[in-house]
Amino acid sequence: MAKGHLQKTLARKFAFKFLYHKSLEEMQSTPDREDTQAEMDEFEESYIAPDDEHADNDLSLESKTFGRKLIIDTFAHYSDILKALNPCLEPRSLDKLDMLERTIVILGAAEIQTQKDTPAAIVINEYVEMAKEYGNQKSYTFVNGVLDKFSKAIR
Amino acid sequence: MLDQINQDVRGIIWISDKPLSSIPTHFKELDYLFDGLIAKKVSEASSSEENFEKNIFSGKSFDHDLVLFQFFGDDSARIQKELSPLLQLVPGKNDNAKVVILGAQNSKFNEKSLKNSFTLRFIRI
Repeated sequence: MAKGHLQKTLARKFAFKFLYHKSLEEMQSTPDREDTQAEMDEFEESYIAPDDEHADNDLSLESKTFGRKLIIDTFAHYSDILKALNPCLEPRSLDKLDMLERTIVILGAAEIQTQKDTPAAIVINEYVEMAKEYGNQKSYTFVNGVLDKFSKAIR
Repeated sequence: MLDQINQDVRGIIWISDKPLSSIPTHFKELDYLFDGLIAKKVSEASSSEENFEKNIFSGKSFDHDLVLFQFFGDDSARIQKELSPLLQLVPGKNDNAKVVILGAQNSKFNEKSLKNSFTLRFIRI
């Protein structure tokens, strides 16, 4: 795909990888915005640099901007998202999820909550595909169910 | 095996000789390393495919983040394809992170074909 276009799928992957690493460090809600910007800069240079195997890593400026917006939105709405997500996870709970599934459902929920111009079904499908790529083999069915419940509760 | 998982190791690729539910070699040691997380997840982790299984676990070792990618199956090409995006989830890229590969003796998995955007040292044990 030509550079310069907004490639939302790649932007979502960028946001996911960043937040997954933050999750491992026990992600806190509303961290200092300047710190987050600096961490995203560093992350872009180190993890998202393209190579032979990951040519898609070369994100356009528009895609990086969208990915960064998802990250900032996730932090900004973190507490609200967790509160709204937990009933959708029953009988499980966020603290019982593996970090991968946890990160995917939080990021998906943040996009459903904040990007209301995108149909929920499209957003959910994007995170289902993400779960297929990065999650365990059954993660995608879990992500699909949770985000579907969340979107119906929120929108 | 556990004595090889030192504080520089941030990722483990485990090509298991059986599906997780059949308690493959290294199961107990890795479950110990991940504080029982693998045993807890066995019922959820069973594969929908008979000849292929993929599971990812996130934990800590020596106060460092550690990820485990478990694969079962004979299709080495598929394992390598599925593993490629996952390598970007290995933490500690600034610390010359090591990735340990635990392979079944007859595994055709070839770590030399793996490419990633930061330095990882692959060690087969």
